[in-house]
Amino acid sequence: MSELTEADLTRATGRPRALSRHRWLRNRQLTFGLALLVLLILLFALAPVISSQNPNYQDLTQPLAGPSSAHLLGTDNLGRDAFTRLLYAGRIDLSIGIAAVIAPFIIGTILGLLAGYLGGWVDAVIMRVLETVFAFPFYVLVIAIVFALGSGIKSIFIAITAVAWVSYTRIVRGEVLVAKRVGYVQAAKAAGLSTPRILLRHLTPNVLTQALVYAMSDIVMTILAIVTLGFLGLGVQPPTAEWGSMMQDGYQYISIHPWLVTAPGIAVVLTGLALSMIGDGIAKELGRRQ
Amino acid sequence: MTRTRYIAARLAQAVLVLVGVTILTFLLIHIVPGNPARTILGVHATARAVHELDQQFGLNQSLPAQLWAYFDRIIHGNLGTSYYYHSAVGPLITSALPVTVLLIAFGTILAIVVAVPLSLLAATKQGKVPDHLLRLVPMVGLGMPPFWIGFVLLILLSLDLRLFPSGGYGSTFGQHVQGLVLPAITVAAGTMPLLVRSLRASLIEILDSDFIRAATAKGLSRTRVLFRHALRNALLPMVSVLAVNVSFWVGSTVVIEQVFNLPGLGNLMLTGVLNRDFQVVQSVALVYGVMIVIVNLGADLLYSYIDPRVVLGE
Amino acid sequence: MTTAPMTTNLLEISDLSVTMPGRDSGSVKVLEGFDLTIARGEAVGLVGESGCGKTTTLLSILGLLPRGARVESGAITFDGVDLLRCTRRQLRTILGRRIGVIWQDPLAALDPVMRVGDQIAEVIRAHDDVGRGRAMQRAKELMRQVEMPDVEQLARRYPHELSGGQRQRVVIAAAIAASPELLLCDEPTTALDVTVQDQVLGLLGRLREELGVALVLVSHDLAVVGEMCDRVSIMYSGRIVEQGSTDAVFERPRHHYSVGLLASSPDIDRVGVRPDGIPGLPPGSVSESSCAFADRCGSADERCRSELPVLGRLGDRLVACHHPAVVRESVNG
Repeated sequence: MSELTEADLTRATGRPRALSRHRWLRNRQLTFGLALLVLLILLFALAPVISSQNPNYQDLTQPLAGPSSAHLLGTDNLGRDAFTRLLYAGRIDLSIGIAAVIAPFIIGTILGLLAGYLGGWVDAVIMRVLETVFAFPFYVLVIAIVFALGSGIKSIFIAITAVAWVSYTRIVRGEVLVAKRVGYVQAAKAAGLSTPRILLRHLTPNVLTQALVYAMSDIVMTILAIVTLGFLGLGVQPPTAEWGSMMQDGYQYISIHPWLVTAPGIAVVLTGLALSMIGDGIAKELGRRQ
Repeated sequence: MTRTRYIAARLAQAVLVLVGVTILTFLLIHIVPGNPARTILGVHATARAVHELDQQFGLNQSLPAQLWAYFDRIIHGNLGTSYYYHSAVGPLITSALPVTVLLIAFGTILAIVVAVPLSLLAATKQGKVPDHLLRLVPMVGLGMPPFWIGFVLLILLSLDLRLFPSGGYGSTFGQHVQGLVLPAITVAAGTMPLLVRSLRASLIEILDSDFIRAATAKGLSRTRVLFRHALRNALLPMVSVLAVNVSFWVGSTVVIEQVFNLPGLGNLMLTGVLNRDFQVVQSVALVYGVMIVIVNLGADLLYSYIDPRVVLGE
Repeated sequence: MTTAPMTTNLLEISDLSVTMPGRDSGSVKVLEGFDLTIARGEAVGLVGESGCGKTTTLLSILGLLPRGARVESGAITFDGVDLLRCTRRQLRTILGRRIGVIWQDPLAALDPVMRVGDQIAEVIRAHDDVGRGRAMQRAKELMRQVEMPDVEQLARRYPHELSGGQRQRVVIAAAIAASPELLLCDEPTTALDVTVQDQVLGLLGRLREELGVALVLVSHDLAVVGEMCDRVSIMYSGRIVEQGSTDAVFERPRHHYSVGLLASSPDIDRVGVRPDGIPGLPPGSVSESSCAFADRCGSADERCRSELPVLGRLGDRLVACHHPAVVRESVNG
């Protein structure tokens, strides 16, 4: 019974390989996401090196030219090189997308900590406001606020902050409530620590990881919102190259030059894919369920 | 907690949110920089027009008085007058609302019909090829701008194959349905990834639970175990996933309507934005908010009926 | 009884070995060279600490091992049919119909969103061609048989609306619904209140007599096994270390683990050993080259740490020990 047979040995060696492959698969998500993001960032950052053309130069003699060696993706209706604009637009969309998440992240996390930890009327007020904001479709509220404020990057920042903080507050508040029940906060209290110290020292690191994981997918959502606003003519103002406004420009020529619309879309999807994979990868590394 | 008390508490909460929604739309005009009326109407507006708008929104009264007037007006079903159309906003919304509701319903049903078998496939083949492929769906899908999916469908199905009209709503019910096919697929394509992700996760958890083992040990057929026991339990969290994300997928219809030229609420709102028709934008935003409060309320009440545990509290 | 040859074995498990995926890599043996036979109408107890492979044994019989677990070798034969080589369809005609299961945690074992009456009736409908109404009628009869009150009302309740004892009665009713020949009980009273435990055990004993059903009782509660079972297998770290008639093993344990187990059980005071627990914890994986219990055993020597003791006959039982405990005549035995 105690002797190992041939078959036992094969099985014993076969198993670990199968398992480590799964592990690798799991990590591959993070690795692949990071690699893709770095590649995209390089492409966008090195846009002046990759393309010698000016994204805003209008060659009115060559509107809507087809793809060629001079213009990889052809030109748009104003004769601008679509490929160059695609790269420069990436700079705008990705950087605004990331920057616009910072304020809601901070505000939302602080409100979530306060609501979850203090409870009582503070929690009640924050939650009622949160429910109210949640009651509006994301795009409806963002569009309405940008409309009221007037279009432009500043309005986009304000609108996204006004709408996006709620998700962080909800996540963080939930985590705080769980942590309170788990008891390490109670233990800290028993040890005579003051309320703000408990919040800072004990709760924040635990709660922050959850908020960070969410932030990755939130960047995707934010980029989508910027692109959507751009498509609607409410976003980054022309002539600055931006994926959404590029699609708006190409929309009219969808039947003859579909790539003017599909190419910026694919750029958005790739950026989103990279960020989602990083987010999922981090979540799994932390061993938490989404 | 009894069901009656649960419903009463839930209704009270909904009313509170409705008040909040109304206040938020009210505040919209007060975040307009500078002189709201002047900014809304643009630099070329006459002094008279600015004055009229001030009158209409009561902008020269105190804030509480304005809010009270706003509430009073809304409760009486008066959604204001469109500056651009020179007509009441109410009827404009009434004619646009069915288009949006139909689009959302159509798209949601489609998303569920596709998501359920895909999730079952992924969960039962966990770790195998179909599962790995399907796990990419949410990642790719959630990164797609909703309107862009519409473009791709337009290019593939409408312009190349000429299967469906590229836009418009027609005038007969048949034309409505035909015109809604592509937009509904677009809505579904945006919602489906969320559903697949949550449904797959809950199915995997449920398939590994004791009661599924117990059901299998009873000698029940695989179909009965999967559908009657596993799926039924997995659909419960799906209702809340739908409800939680309702603002996301309803929001996406705003732009999708624009792409397919459907005369729904989103279209009305965006036309209002283009025409600087503040009253239309404000009222449509309000209607969207109310719509979602109602959907969420309905989802919770539905949930309390299909899941016997919910009424007992957390 | 223990020495008599079993010619009418209902269930025969021979040389069963099972592995589970390990924490980091590779697989861990959780069951090794496991043998067990059960005659018709016989009650056999499987006793051991948690993680010793008791539940794995039951799940192997049902073909319900968790994902990643694998039967490496062995056979499980139920009334002449090899369950490990059955098709799913064949297995379905045996599970529920000829083998019923009573689970450890009744709340987890019942579908939370199905009325309990339906959960009993679905067993009947899966195995007999009867209508919905007839099946429900039969389900209510079964609920009365397991001594549930207000059957008409309780049948319409959901699991969370019942008490722990009532839930376990529902599980029992579903297990016996198709008049099985074998009942597998996985710690049937562990999740219940102490007061309810006796009632459920009494019910099980009565049902066994009425139905003549064979019983595999997995438990760490020696008192329960002593009361219910004809024979007992003591398991340690994936192997059987001692097997024999309940009376023989309980009164004169020969494996040092059995001695310790019986001594640490407050309900059993038939053995004249100090009533303290066994120090240490069981190892995580099945040992190949030594006695798994050696590190916790007071009588262990070099041989125990270098050579695996084989389960062999020792008088009226089977024991796997190099230095079996000396039989002490119990004062009241």
